[in-house]
Amino acid sequence: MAALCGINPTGRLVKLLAWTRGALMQGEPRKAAPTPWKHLFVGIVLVFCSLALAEPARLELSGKARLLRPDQTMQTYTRSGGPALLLNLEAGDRLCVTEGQGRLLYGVRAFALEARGAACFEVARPKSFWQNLVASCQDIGVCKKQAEVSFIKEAKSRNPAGNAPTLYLPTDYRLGALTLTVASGQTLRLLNGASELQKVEAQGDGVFTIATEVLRKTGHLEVLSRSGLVVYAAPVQWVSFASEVAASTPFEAALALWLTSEIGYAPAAYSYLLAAGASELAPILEAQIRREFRGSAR
Amino acid sequence: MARYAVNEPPRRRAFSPHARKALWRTGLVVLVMVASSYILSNNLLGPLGGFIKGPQGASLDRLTKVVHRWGSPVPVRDFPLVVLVELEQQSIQELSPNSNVFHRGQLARIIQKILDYQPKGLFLDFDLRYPSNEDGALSAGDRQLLEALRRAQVPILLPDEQILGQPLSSLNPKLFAVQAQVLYDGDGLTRKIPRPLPGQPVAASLGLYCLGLGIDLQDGLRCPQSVALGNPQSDGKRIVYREIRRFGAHTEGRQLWPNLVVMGGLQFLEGSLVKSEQTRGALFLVGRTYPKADDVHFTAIGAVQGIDIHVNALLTLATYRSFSETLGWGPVLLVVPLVVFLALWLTYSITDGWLRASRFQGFVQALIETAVAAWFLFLAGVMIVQYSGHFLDYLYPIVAFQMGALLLKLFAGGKKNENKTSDSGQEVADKLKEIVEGTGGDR
Repeated sequence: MAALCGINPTGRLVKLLAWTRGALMQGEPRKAAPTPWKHLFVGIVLVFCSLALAEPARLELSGKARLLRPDQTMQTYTRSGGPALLLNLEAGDRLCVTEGQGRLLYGVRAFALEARGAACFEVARPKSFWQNLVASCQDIGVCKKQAEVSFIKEAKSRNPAGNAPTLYLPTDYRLGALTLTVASGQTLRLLNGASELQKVEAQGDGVFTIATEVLRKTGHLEVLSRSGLVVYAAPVQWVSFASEVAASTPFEAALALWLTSEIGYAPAAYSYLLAAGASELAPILEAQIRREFRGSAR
Repeated sequence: MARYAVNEPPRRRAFSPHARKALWRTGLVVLVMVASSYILSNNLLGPLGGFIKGPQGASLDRLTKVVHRWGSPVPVRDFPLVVLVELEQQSIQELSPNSNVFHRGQLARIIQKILDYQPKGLFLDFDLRYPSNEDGALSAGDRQLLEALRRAQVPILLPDEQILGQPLSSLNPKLFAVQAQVLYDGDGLTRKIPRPLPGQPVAASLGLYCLGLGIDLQDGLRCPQSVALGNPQSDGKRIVYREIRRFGAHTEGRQLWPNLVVMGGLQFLEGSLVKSEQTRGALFLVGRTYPKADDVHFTAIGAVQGIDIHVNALLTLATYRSFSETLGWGPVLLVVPLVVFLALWLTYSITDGWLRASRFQGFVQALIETAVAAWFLFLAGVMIVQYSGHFLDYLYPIVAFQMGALLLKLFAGGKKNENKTSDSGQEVADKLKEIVEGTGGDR
């Protein structure tokens, strides 16, 4: 039915209906009038056809236009003189006037298209039955998206915005890389404003190694889980760190940072501990970082 | 099915066992519905009525969530086109930059242009009580606006009794004050069009609906009387929300309400609305949708702009006609049992018929029967809302079905057709659990 109805002009619809009725009548010649079931059938055909044909976009072209169909085929139309060329557009069509001008009518709306101004127009595709079905399913919480949303809400309620620790780094940080361990997560994104500087994949369960050079340009970082949920997101702060401990070795630098009791310094301290080979202290600090580094902060 | 045949010879029965079971439970559902209706309408439970209304409201919200993505049926015959002229970001930045209130002169231009279409009615969703300047002096734009409103020959609806410091009636008898505030339920959601009360202005959507039908608003009683049918105790009619689609620049598509046109103020001023038989006599609504936080309200489908709520309310009235929240007793007693029966018959055909032959029969019987029935009933509810616009209120059959199922378990009568004899407290607890899980999707 869709193939029959989807072709186009209204005249053809009338013919189709006439044909449908005619065919029904021929099939049962003894009956003088169609039964209510046939009326119902014709009604259903009418509804479906009117839905399929209800794209009233029409272009009156005086000039040249390029039409891109949804299947990516391109057609060019030209009208150099005389009355305007009439062209019907269907859902998903994108039309650009390349020379001269055109007037596009969509229902009761008119759009003036000119090669030098607003040149293009697109007929939005209606959402398909399947898309609507999936979206409704997600809306009422049966499908996956709703579950994700409710998970995010739950996570937020546990960690209100601002509770997640900011990542503090001393400006004299000497190692070539920072090891960040978070509760879980697969991908870490380093951002500067809206632009993404680098994407780092986890080496183990929530373990990321980030080059210090990139970190110095980073304003903000976020860790995403496998399903794309933000597990941890916070700004990166480089702090001019003054300590009473004159740290000459990585182990001393780690202790100096640890003495602050500020959880934001913990990843830097942890990295120093790893570099110093402090196999007893490092796991303790790692467990604490994994516990605290979750949620998001601005 | 085979087991049924062994227990009760099929020759004695006119119906299939599934149909009999469905019929018997439909009777129970109707009984519970009638009883709960009586109890709630007479407020016999007092504040405890909330225990029934609460879950029922959540179920209705779920219906709304499903319906809002699907196209609407056509409105009442000859109802005019509805045009929403929205002042979105681009229009406000072009027409009224650096200003808290929208430039009154530009608003006057928009009104003047709308009047060219000889509209049946126009609603301006703006706070126009005071002049633009803080000292109260009229600006040039204010004067243009007053002049445009003074000369209007068509009804214009405004949210307040005064305009720029003057009473509406002193300016033009065609100006009417309407109620533009939305009605909040106890949980902070907007669900209903306020019911018109004597001596108070009608809701904006109701006023526009009357104008669309050609009912004069000057006779203050005629509009509410002509449409205010249905349950007089309810606060108002539930709004059937549809998504109002916004398309990008130079893109246009179909709206879910068939006779709705949405366009930006700037596009409207540029002549984007064709002058034709279809647009002559349309109903116009003008309102801001930017900044988004200024006029946003929460509904079952999420955050919605105030002007969109008015549009949805108007088109609910135009599409689903009477201002009644419930069906009359006749349709309730005819349609609802039929719908419930079909849903249950389908359920038992699946659970007792097709699936019973499988080795998972115990699981099927115990766990998913109620859930399957609830889903069929839910889909039946979606169809009712989609095509009739009627919400069945607390009569909503899922609640009744679940209460009925609980009663069956408690009194053990419902087990007589099944081959299980135990009716222990554990079973009741299990049933309660499955009822909760079957409908526990609401947040």
